[in-house]
Amino acid sequence: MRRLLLLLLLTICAAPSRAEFHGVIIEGLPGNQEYAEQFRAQTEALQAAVQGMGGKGRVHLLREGQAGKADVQKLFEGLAQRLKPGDRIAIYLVGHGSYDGFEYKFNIPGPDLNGVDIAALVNGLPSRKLVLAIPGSASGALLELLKDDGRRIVITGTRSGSERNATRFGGFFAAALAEPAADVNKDEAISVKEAFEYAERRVADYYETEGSLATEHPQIAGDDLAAYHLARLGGERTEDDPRIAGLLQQREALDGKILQLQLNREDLGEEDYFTRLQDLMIDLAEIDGEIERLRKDIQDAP
Amino acid sequence: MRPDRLVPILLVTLSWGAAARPLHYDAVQEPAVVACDKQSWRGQREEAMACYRQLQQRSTDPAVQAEAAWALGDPREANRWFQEAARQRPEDPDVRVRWGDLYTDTYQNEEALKLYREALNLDPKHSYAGVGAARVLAEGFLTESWQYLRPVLEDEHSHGHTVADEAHAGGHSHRGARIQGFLLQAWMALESGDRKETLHVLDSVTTLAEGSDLPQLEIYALRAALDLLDGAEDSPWIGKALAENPGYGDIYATPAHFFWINHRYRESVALYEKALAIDPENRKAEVDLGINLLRDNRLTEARRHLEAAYAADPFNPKSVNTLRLLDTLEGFATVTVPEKPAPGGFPRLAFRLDKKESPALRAYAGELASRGIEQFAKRYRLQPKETVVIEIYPNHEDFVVRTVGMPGLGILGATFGYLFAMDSPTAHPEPDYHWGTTLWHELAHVFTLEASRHTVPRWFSEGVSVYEEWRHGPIPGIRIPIETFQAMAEDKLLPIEELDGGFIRPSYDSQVQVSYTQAGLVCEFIAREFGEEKLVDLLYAFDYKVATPEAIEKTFGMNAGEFDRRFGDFLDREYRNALVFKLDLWKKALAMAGEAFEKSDWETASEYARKAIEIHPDYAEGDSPYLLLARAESEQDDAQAQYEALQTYFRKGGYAPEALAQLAEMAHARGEKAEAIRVMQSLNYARPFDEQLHSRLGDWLLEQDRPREALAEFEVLLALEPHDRAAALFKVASAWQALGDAAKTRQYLLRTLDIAPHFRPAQKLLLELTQPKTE
Repeated sequence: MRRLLLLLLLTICAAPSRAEFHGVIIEGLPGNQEYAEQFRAQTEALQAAVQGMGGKGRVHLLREGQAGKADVQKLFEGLAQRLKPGDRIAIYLVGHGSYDGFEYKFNIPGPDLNGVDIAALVNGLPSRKLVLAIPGSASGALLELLKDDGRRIVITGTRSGSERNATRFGGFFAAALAEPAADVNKDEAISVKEAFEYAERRVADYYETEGSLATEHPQIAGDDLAAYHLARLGGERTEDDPRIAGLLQQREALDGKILQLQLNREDLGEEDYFTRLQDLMIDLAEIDGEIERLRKDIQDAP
Repeated sequence: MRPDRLVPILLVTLSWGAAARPLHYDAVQEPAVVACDKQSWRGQREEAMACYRQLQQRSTDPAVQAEAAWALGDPREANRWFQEAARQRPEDPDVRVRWGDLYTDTYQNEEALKLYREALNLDPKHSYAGVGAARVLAEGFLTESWQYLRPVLEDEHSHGHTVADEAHAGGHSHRGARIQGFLLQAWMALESGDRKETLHVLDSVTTLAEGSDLPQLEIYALRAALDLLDGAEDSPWIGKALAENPGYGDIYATPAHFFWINHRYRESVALYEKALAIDPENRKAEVDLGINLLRDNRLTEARRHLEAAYAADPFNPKSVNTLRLLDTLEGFATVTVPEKPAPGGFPRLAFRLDKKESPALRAYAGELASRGIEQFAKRYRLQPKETVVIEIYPNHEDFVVRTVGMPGLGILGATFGYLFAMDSPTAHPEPDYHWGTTLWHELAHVFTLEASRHTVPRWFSEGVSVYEEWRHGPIPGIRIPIETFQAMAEDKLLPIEELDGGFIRPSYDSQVQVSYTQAGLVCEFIAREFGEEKLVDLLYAFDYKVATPEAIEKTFGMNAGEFDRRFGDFLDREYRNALVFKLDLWKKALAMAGEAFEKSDWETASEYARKAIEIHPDYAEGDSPYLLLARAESEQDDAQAQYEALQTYFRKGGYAPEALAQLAEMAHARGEKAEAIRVMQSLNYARPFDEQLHSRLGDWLLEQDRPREALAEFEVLLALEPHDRAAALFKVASAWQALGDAAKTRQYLLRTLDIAPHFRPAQKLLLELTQPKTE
C-alpha cells in the first residue's frame, strides 16, 4: 500500500503530461453468432473508452476482414512511425486464443497471430507506456513472454495456456471502463488497476454464483497500475479556461499533500490522522466544487 | 495429520487393538475357530486371544489364519490371508463371504458387496452371502436390500454353504444365516419405528436360535432397545446378556443407536457411555458417542472420544470425517444473541458461522431466529430452557458429516435438540435454495422435539416444520411439488400409521419428498379442521408408549383409520377434485407453454401458461407457469401483465430470486415503494451475499425515511467487502446522517474520502457537516 501511494505521489508531482493516448483494438474471429455479439459489444465499449480519453483519431480498430495478419502488421508499422516514447498506448486483442502446449495463437482471418508475432508487434513500438490486454482463452500462455520485466503492463484472461474455455473476463473488463462502481477512488477515471480488479472480481462472482469451478483466472503484470488511466467516466474534456487550469494546479498540490499524509499515517494517531485529513478534504472539496461550478457555467454559456 | 480423502480406506499396517470380531452365526465352520469364538462370545477375552494365537501357530489353512488375525485385531493380515484362501480355493463361496464380512467390519461396503456378489455367482443360494449383501445395502437404506434378504427369510435357499448342511457339524449352518437375516429384519423394522414388527421378528428368531448353541446376545440387545425406548429404566435382557458375556458392550450400544435414530441424543450418549464402561475396546461405540456428544454441543468431550477412537481404529471414516469437521469448526465465529445475556440467564441464540459469512448471515439469521423463537414459544407452549445453537455451513459435505458422520447425503438441515445444523446459501448456489425457510423449518423441530421430550414421530415433527414454512415462514405459501399430486393421483399416500416409513425406508424414488408434503398437509388439515391448538395438543399427546394411533385417538377422539378417511376427504375437497383429476391436462398445458417459450412464440406461451394457472393457481415451484407467463408478457411489452404475474407468483410463495429482484425493481419504478422493499427484503433469505441487493434495498429504505433498516443493509454491504468500498462507506455515512449521528457520519465520511478524495457526494456531505449554515 505504501509503495502504491509513493508511486501515486510521484505521478502527481510530475509535470502534467501532454502526451497522446492511442487505443488499438483488434477483434478476432468469433466462431459463432453468440461470440460475435459478445466481441462486438466489447469492441464498442473499448472504443468508447479510448475515444473518451483522447479523441476519435486515436482509436485504431481492425475487425472482420480487415483484421488479417498483414493488416495488423501494417497498422503497427504505422504506429511505430507515429508514436513518441512518451505517448501512451492500450492494445486490446478481443477474441479467442488457443494453445497446443507449445504455441499460443490469436484467432484472426487467415494466418493466426502467434506469441512471437505479438511480441514483435509491441516490441517495435517506441512507447514506454504500453498496456497490452489479451482477455481471451489460453492467453495466460503469453504472460511470461510479453511482460518485459514490468516495463509494460500485460493483462491476460487466463492463468496459463491450458485454460482453454471461452472467457468472461473480456466482457467484464470492457464494461469496467464505463462502470462507476469500478471507479474505486471516484476520480472519474478508470485505471488499469481498477478495471482489472473489477473484472477479476466479477469473474469470480460469476463462477461462484453458477456453482461451477472457475475455468479462467485473469492475470496482470507491470507497474504503476493505479496511475495508468484507460477511461474517463465523464468523457473527453478540454480544459482551456485559465481559471480551471489554475484550480487544477491547486488541486494537484492538495492531492500531493493528502498522499503525503496517507504515507505518514502510521506515525499518527487515528484521531490526529482523521483531523488532518478532514482539513485537507474540506479544502479539496471546495476546490472541486469551484471546478464543478465553472465547468457548468462554461457548459451552460450560450 | 489426518488423510484428506477418507474413502476408500486401505487396510494399512496399523493394529487397531483387539476389538471384538462380529458374531458370525456359524458362517465359519472350522471347529478350532468356533472353539475360540465361543470363549470370545462368553467374554473370556484373555482365553480367547490365547486360543486365536494358538491357531495362528498351528493352522495351515489360510482361511483359519485370516479368522485368527481378524479376531486378534489385525485386519490387514486377515485381508492377506483371505486373499490367499481365495487364491487356493477360487470356487469356495464361504471364503468370499467371510472376506466380505471383514470388509463390512472395516467400513468398506462397496468391496464387501462385490465379494458377496461373487459368492452368489458361485452359489446363487448361499444364504450368508445373501444376508451380507442385504446388510450392506440396508446401511445405505437401499430397497434392493430386500431382494437379497427375502429368499433367506422365506427359506428359499437350500443351504448356507456349498457343503451340504448335513455334512456340517451340528447341521445348523442354514439356521445361522436365517438368524442373521431375521436380526437384520428386526433392526430395519425398529429403525422404521415399527415396534410390533420388531417384536414379531425377534420372537421368530428366538425360536430359531433356541435349541442351538448359537449366541443370542444380539437378540437380547434388540429386545433391550425396545424396552428402553418404551421408557423402561432397565431391561431384563441387559442382565441376561451380561450374565452370558459381562463385556458385551453392544447390550447398551444397540439401544443407544435406536435412541439416536429417534432423536433422543442425550439418552443415547448415556447408553454409549455405559457400553464403553464395560467394553472399553468398543471403538465403534466410542465414535458414535463422540458424534452424539457433538449433537449435544459438548465439543470438547466429543473430540476426546473421537481422538481416542481414531488412535485405536483409524479405519472408521466417521471418526476421521468428524475430527476434520471439528478442525473446520475451530475456524468458525461464534455469535450470541443477545451478545451479553442478563445475569444468571443464557443467550437466546448462539450461531456458529463461517468467519467470511458471519457478518451477512448473523444479521438476518439472528432476526429470523429470534422472531421464530418468540412465535414458536407461544404457539407450542414451550419456553426454551437452553440456548438454541445454530451452525451454518458453507460446505455442504461438512454439514452432512456434522449430521451423520459421513458425506454424501442430500439434506439441507438437521436438528438434534437445542442444536441444529444447516447449509448456508454458499453450499447451494442453485437458485431454489431458500436458507431462511430451512432455518425456520429446523427451528420448528427444536420445539417439537423438546416439547415431546424427543418422542414425537418423524412424520409429525416434519409435518409441523413444513406447516410452519407454509403458514408462518419467511415466504408463506403452500408449495406442493408435482410429485405429491402424482402420488395422490396414483393413490400412493401412506396411512398415517405408516407415514414414518415413507421417510426412513422409501419404496419409490420421490417418496421422501412426497412424505414431507403429506405430513405438512396432515398438519394443515388439522389446523383447518380442528384449529391450530389441536395441532399443539397432538404434539403433547406423544409420549414413550404413545405412538401415532394412540395420540390421534387421544387428541381427536377417533381412530387412525377414521382420521385417514377425514384427511382423504380434505384432500379430495382441496386438491383431488380440482387438480389431481386434471393433472395430465395441467402438465400438458405447462409443457405446451414451455415448448412455445423455447420457440420464442410468446403469445402461445402466455396462452398455455394461463391455462396451467387456471387449473392450478397455487403452483409456485421453480417451474411455475407464473414465471413463464411473466417472461412471455415481458417479451410482448405488456409490463402490466408481467408485473401482475410476478406479483401473484410472489404472493403464492414463489421465491425464484431473479424473478423477485425483477418484481422489486418494477414495483419501485411504479412508485410502490413499500411493496418493492418487502419483496427485496424477502430476498435476503435467499441471497444474503448479493451486494447489489443490499445496496438497492438500503437506498430504498433511506428514501422511505427508514434509516435504521437502511443502515443495517449498508453495514452488511460493507462487510461483504465490495469492490466499490468508497461507495459503501458513503452509504453508511448517509444512513448515520439520517439518524442524526454527526460523529458516526464524520467517521464514515472521512473513511470514504480516504479512499476516494474526489468523491463529490461525500465532499458535499463533508462540507454540509463541517461548515456552519449561513442565513
